[in-house]
Amino acid sequence: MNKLVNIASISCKEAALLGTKKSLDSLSFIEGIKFKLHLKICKTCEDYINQNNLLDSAIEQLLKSKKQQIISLTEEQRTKIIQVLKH
Amino acid sequence: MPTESKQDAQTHLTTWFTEYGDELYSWAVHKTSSKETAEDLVQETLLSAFKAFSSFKIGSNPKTWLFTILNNKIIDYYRASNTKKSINETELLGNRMDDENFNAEGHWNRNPISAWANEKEHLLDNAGFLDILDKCIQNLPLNWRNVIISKYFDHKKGSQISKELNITSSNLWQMAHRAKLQLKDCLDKNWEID
Repeated sequence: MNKLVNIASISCKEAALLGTKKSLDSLSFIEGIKFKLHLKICKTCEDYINQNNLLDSAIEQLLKSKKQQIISLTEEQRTKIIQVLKH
Repeated sequence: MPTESKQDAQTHLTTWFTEYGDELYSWAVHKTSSKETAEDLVQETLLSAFKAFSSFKIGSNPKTWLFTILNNKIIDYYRASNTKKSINETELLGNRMDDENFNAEGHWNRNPISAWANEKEHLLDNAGFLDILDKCIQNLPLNWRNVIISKYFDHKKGSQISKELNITSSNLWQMAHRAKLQLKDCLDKNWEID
């Protein structure tokens, strides 16, 4: 049993990295177990992952509002850019 | 290009640029965080569209076509920024982040929980906080910032981002992980609760 726990145990650094991997791609079966087990026994990491999810939501919110924001080209920029068609 | 087709391409592209120029430019500014770079990329887009005008199919959507060209230019821009020198620099910064946060056994060196995390749902409506977050994202190293923008602005999958940046998946996870630690650090330093 101890051996099993050892195999399944990962450090906080690895757990934080797996948390990021989970949000970008997906975890393998084994990684999923290791990750869940670590969060069960480590309150700090559990809080960190929740905090990271909050940060994800904030980034999403910020970039979503930016997507709708139109920045107008100045007349000077327009004239400069369009020059490329005149050669 | 025969003179007639050249004039045809110029006329169409001038009209489309008048119509979609601001949208193309805004998109490029949001994705590169630089007005200067965005201006260059829009100009390059127009030039490429001009050269490839014969491949544009009449009846298809010119806006979609121009955005496809622009997005490829943005990918090229980030890929070109991924030089050995910049990789080494971010590697140094990344190692420093790891050392500040974790000890040799991989346990937290310091409490990673930030004061701003206590604000929970109110945080997302806090314009001041989002403003600081925006500046923190803009200050990330170029390749880390691209990972964040690709994931949260474009909603691209990890496999697609690593392919575009020409890096391995584990490299990508490492970059995203470090970018998040850096953002947390930046928010901790700049966010003050009233």
